[in-house]
Amino acid sequence: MTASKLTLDRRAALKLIASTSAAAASAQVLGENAKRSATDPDLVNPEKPWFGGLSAKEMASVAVLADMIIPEDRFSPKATDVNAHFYVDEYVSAPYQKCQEALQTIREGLRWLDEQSVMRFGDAFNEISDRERHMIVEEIKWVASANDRNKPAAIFFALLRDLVATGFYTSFEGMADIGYVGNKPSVSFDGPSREVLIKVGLLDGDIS
Amino acid sequence: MDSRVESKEYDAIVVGSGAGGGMAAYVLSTAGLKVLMLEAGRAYDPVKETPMFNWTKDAPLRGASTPDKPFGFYDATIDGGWEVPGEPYSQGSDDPAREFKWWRARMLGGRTNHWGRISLRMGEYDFKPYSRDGLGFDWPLSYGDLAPYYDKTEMLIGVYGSNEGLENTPNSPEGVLLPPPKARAYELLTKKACEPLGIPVIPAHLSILSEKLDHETIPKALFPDNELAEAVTRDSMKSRAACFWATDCGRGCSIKANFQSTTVLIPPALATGNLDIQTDAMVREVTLDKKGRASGVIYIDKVTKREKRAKARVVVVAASAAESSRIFLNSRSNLFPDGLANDNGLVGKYLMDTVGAGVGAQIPALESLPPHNEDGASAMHMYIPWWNYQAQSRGELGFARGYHIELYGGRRMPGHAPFRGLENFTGGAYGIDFKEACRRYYGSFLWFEGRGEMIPNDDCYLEIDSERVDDWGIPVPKFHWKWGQQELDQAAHMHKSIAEIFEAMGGTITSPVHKDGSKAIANGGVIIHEVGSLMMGDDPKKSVLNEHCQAWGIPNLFVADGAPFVSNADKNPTLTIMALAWRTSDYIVDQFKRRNI
Repeated sequence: MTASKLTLDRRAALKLIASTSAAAASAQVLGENAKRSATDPDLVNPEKPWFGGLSAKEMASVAVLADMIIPEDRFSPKATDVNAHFYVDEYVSAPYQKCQEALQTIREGLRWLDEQSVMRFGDAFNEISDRERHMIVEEIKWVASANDRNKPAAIFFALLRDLVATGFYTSFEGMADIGYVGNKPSVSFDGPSREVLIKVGLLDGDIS
Repeated sequence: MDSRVESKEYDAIVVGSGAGGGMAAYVLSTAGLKVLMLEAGRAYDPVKETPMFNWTKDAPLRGASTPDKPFGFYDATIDGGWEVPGEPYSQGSDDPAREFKWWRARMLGGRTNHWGRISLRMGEYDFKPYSRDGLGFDWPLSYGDLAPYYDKTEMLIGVYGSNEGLENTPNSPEGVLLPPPKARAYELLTKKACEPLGIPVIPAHLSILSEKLDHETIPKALFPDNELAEAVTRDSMKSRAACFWATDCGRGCSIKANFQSTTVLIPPALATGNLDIQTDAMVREVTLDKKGRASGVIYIDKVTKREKRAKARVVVVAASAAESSRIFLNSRSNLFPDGLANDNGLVGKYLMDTVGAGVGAQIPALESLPPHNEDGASAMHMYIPWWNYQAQSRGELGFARGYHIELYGGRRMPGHAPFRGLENFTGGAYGIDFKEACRRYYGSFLWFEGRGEMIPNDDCYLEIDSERVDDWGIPVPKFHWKWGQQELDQAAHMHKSIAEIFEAMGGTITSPVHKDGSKAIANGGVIIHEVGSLMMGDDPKKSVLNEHCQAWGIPNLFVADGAPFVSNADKNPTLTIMALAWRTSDYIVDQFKRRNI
């Protein structure tokens, strides 16, 4: 192993942070420090203040849908195993206009699913079979392919997929699945490996 | 709030603590002047407050952009954005295309805490644009005048990059730049695709320490005759670690591996013992003495909402371009009824931003790559400098000034909506198919952004809205904005060029490519390269400041931010703001020595 391959372990990195911290000068700065607010939150120890926008019944449907969007496979668990469905609730519970609009979209979408389920299969979305649920979701899986009548439901499903994917792929399990391997301190940045360069078709390119 | 500030007589008051104010305070205090820095926001220490290594999953909304935190939760900006609570501003027009969005960061160090760290020198052409093409104005100084200050600034802050010897893209002297980090896969692929197009892809210049700075030799070289400056700079430089290739620079950096005023300029300035900093101090106006010279400032103590005064022999305004103009315009007296140094009506005029337009694409060659860490320096390792000077001077392009292209993409830490838009590639996949698609497409999306020169025009300026005050009782600015045809044509060309590059890479374009520049261009202020509005020049009738950024007619009033700019080259302004502030501060010190002030 060459020196350039060395990776700082996290403890060493944190020690480095602590040592530079001791040298910080703040003597003659007169004035206030942090007064916590929405525009000045604690970044180091964040709080997640938003939840509870969706009812228990709505959350049950979101959980079922989340696992339809991200089921378990040989690489990673299903969405609800990493609580990805709770991210949907967090997002629509936030006070921002976009989030409040999302709450309406999700709420109306869930209602639409139940209406369709009752109409076509005689029971609520959570009560019908997997096959029946897929028959409905197939019709709204893409805004571009959904028929005009189903466009609002397709917009709902696109939003839900975005939110579930956010909850899932920001988890350790989700990041491992797609191969995000950063956020690690290291002594050097070595660039792409030979294997990567071959795959990209760059081995004859400019490699220095 | 300390009463010392009001009773003390300072050599210099510096209004603002960002790139310009930080540099002015650093140069003046290390030269032995007693300096008071006034900052409108709160105190801030990146060493303690930076969320190093924090995961997006631990942030509210996974770190998504919100109106409270427009660049995302972990962005270093405090009490800032295009909208700041209690600090409204007005628009001169209802037309959305003529809106100017005014970014502020109310915190010690200002926007240097979160900025992009892109540190490009302006070139020879950029200082004399009027002489080259008859548009806009020439600077009262040349590249040669500022080059020594570019050298010193780069040595002090640490900039990685390379010398390529390209037209109007200046080299730094041997040994000044730090080595650039190795290119990422997508940057190398871009370079390969650009070669046959005749488009250069070269190491970017960013103020990030790819290696530790040499704290033994650099401070000596910077300050051969100033032991105090050398000592405080050495200690400060020594405390800065090299980048450990993790944590987005926009969060700030607790190991001080990138440039922030709060880690690089303010700590050594404080260490001299010559600098006091008063935060939560919103400056309203510059006061004058009976002779019409600056005597100090009036500011609002934001904690008590009380008006306070501070006195000094020199006032250096570096509050950010529009804020500095606002202070000038709000400083009305019998001598200057229309605002300070505004006899010719030019205060607030020729406000500029950077032309911005971007295009995205999905690149098949980047699909399904073996997992590898592309965090690197978080920002660009490579970029595309303007390559069309020759075609432009032959009049082949239809617009007069250049742009560079910034490259973004890669296998970043997933945040909010990491796979938005993927349904257009999968036909709306969900389930196992969706997971497979995420695996396949992760890291294959690129976004390139053009950043171009805006030519100053008569339609872009700010004045005071006489009917509206902010929470501190200070009259607010009203912005007037209109992109010129030059900028619109340039923005359309950005879209065309970027699309051509993506096509050469075999990519699928994922965003509109507009032939109509007005649809491609970002609104004024969105790129946050607000400069101009207190222009410097050779002629007191045609400018507000002279070549030392000294107000015409008020010899102890200076400006040290982006406001003195008379053009806004495609080179991001921060490095030039610092070099110019250093030059201005050296002149102030010299004037003190000569007892002219």
